[in-house]
Amino acid sequence: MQELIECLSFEELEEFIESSEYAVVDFWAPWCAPCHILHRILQSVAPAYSKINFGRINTQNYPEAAEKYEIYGLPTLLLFRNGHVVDRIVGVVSKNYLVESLNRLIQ
Amino acid sequence: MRAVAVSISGLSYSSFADCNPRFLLNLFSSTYRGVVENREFFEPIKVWQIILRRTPFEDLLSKGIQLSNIPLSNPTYGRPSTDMFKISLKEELELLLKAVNDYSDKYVVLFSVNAYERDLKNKKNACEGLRLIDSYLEAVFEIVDNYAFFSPYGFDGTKYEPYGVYISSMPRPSEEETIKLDQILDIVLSLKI
Repeated sequence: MQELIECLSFEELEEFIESSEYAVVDFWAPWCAPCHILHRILQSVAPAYSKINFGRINTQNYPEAAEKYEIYGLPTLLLFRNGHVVDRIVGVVSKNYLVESLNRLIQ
Repeated sequence: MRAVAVSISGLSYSSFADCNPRFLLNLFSSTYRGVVENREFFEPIKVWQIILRRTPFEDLLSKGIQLSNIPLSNPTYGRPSTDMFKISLKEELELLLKAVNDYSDKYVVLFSVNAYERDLKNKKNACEGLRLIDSYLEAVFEIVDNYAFFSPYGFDGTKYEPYGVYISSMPRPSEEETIKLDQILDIVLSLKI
């Protein structure tokens, strides 16, 4: 499976969000088992959304990112439109739910 | 108190997302879970040397651990011992069930399922294999009081993943840390309590 989800540092995160019309950022940590399931689901849907930039940030390495974006549970997906958070998905969700959320994002 | 620890080489959380194993996902949602982190070792002999911390087998038995089908050699080490290049996944899982029935009242059975990864390398369908594992682990779960189902690494059919699965009846002291290979033996020992 081609990796379309960019691994980000805290320093890269801001630039990534600001430079994307549509962006999805996956906040995760290695110890978080549901994060690994959600990552796979995200990997499986990402190829269908060329307008969206997908990134992920390891909150264990960059706790300041979790603090800045008020991440209180893992995994959390933040969906950005023109640099603003428009949706927040906490926990593992189904592929269908994720697709609906991504469709809403680019509507 | 019946206890078992089952290692399934190559099993990953990615396969949970791809294949939706009913029993394992239910268990995942309702009990202690974690992630085995292993970025270096994907060779069975090395992996198991680290997991067992090179402890003499007699010492493990005296500590209450019955090794079963451990791929430190071929035929595998322990009771049962199989030819890991020839045995089918179903045959291996039948032996897991038998080992649990035969030994788990006296020992913690530490069993390694090896055929799943071998089958993935041979391009067999991952979800078919996982469905089989799912049903046998459910049967094992019905027999035992304590359990740990884990994998020392993941494998997606083409490449290794540095993260394996971990689902257990026992809590760990540090839930917000990954489990390293050399910590697994202590987890296995804790299942006997």
